[in-house]
Amino acid sequence: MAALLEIDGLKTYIKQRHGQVQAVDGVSLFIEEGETLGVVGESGCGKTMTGMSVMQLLPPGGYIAGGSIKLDGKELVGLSDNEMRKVRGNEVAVIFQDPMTSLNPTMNIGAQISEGVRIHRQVSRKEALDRAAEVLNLVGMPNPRERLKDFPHQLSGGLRQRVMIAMALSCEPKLLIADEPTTALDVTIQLQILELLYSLKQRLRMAVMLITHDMGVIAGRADRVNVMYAGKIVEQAPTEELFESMRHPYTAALLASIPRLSQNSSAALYSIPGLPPDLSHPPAWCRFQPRCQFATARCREEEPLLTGATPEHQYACFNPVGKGSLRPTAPLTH
Amino acid sequence: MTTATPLSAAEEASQPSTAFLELRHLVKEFPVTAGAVMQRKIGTVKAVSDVSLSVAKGETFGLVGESGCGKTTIGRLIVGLEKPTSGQIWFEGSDIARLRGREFRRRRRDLQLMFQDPYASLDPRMHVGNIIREPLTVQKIGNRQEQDSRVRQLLQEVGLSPKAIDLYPHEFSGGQRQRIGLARALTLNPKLIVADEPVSALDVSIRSQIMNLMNGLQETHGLTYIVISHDLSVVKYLSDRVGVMYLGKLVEVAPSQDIYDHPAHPYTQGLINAIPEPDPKRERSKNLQPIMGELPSAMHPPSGCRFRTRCPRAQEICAEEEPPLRAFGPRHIAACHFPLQTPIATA
Repeated sequence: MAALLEIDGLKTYIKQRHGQVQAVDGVSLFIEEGETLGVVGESGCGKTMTGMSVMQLLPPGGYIAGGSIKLDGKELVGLSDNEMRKVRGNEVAVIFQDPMTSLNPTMNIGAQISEGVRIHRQVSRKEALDRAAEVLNLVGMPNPRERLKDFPHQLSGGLRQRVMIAMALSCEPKLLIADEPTTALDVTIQLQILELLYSLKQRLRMAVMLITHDMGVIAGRADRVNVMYAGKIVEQAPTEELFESMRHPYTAALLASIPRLSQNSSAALYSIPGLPPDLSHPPAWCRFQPRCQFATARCREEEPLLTGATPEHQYACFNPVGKGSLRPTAPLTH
Repeated sequence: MTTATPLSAAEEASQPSTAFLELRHLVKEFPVTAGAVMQRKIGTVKAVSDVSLSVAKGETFGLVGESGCGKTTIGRLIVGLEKPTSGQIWFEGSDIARLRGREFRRRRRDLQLMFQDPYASLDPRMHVGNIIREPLTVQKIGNRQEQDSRVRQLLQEVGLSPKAIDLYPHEFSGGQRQRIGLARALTLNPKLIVADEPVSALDVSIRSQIMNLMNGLQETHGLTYIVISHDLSVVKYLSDRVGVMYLGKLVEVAPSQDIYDHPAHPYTQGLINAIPEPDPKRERSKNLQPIMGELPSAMHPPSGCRFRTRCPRAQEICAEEEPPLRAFGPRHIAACHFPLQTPIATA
């Protein structure tokens, strides 16, 4: 059975005044029906651009330079704007990070939610509003009927994110792209929203691409994980396996640099030296090599491709770390 | 502010504090206004409501809580960016909330603030060298040459090249800007630094660099830190003791390992549960009971215990009586009628 979403060799570049940024450079991944795929990495690693390439909502100057994106067997790359509009919000929907700025402040939430329903489902205004109230109820909005007339500024951050989710779900998409859905929220609200997303995913049998920088969110919610660094996938594995026996030095270093509540805090944290690369001039060959403590000459002469003992667990590294072989070095001050 | 010390604290107020830093019955109210032109006062928000705590020299005290809990306001009160509505802030034997003019300016050298957002807190039109030098100019310390060498020394301490002097903030990454912010906070050789969300705006791999740098500088300079963050794991990593705030109140204070091992307040427990840990087994076996509902309005806080509207353990008394702070162990206090631990005495 083919996967719901198949991305193959995706290259998304952004043209700028001086050259271009290789935001996504040869990413291949798939999502099965009903599965949650976590995409994790730091700012500028290309995780958001990967999601936005699926939606074809790219920033000015952004374009898909190569590769293919197949949703349910249908190629999305090269679709006209009109054809894409039928996919967007209907088969794939997205929740953005910031519910403060991604809702329209001049429209009440009933109008915002029903807009998509009317476009995709050819129903009357009244039926669309009924649907809006129904999805608001689904996302746990108290008094959904009365809330239809509210404007975004009348709602708290958590409720606004519920409205975003309701809007995304209004046409029952097969795939939901959740781009940092809880980063702007307080932790107690974050937990409420993550629980809500999980229960809705189960009920609607929807696949989720969960894009986040937070390894904790990934650990609790993703079935499989793709770790991205500088526009490339450096490691992919089922969640438990990734956390137990990560092989890429970047994954290991990232995990070692997170302070954990359950650990005693006296030990110094590992810290990755240097900065992520500038993607208009990425380092040749392995892109993590300038910051990697295991880098050898080969890493500067050849590009590591994704390999691994099993097709489920793949990593792009010539000198993979074994279980627990990465020890925090002396605390670095710079 | 011209009002004298409040009556409620009259007795204590006559005693100067011997602690390094002590907050006594600190209250800060902000007016809430309506109308664009004729601003009418329609109420007040108690951002900080009767908070008392003390911090020892060389200690790192963490303040944690969600948006609107008053943690940032406390930080701004300590460094003198805001004046308290009532209450006292004792720092090395003087009540800095009452200092004025020259005395206040002099005292302020010892208390510095490190800001959250390294993108917004550095003047984009100033060279980095001048940003770090500015406190020396304001306080009229040293001549040009002495200031130059101080700037160079500071850049080296925070791990930046001296070339940074002639560059602008936009030429640096977030982590490097936070280093510049730290250098500026260190310029006047302060005794205490209030770090307000020092790593929240940074990427994971850069966070640990800055946290390790802060720990290193604390040792070499004998600094005392007040670390303010919404992220309990960051606060726990950096701090010796942690204070948990909710809607303007301090609800629990304990040594950082204790607060994680034996939280007494249901809100603290809820916060700990809500933080996702990078450990799938742990995450999936967690008994997740999210704290229900949303933060109530700070203008009309709930009667009695402010957390009761979201608390799984709340009963009638919680609406009627405000729970007092009680002791749960050495240096461990919490304010709850139905705590998760057995109290040992009234604090």
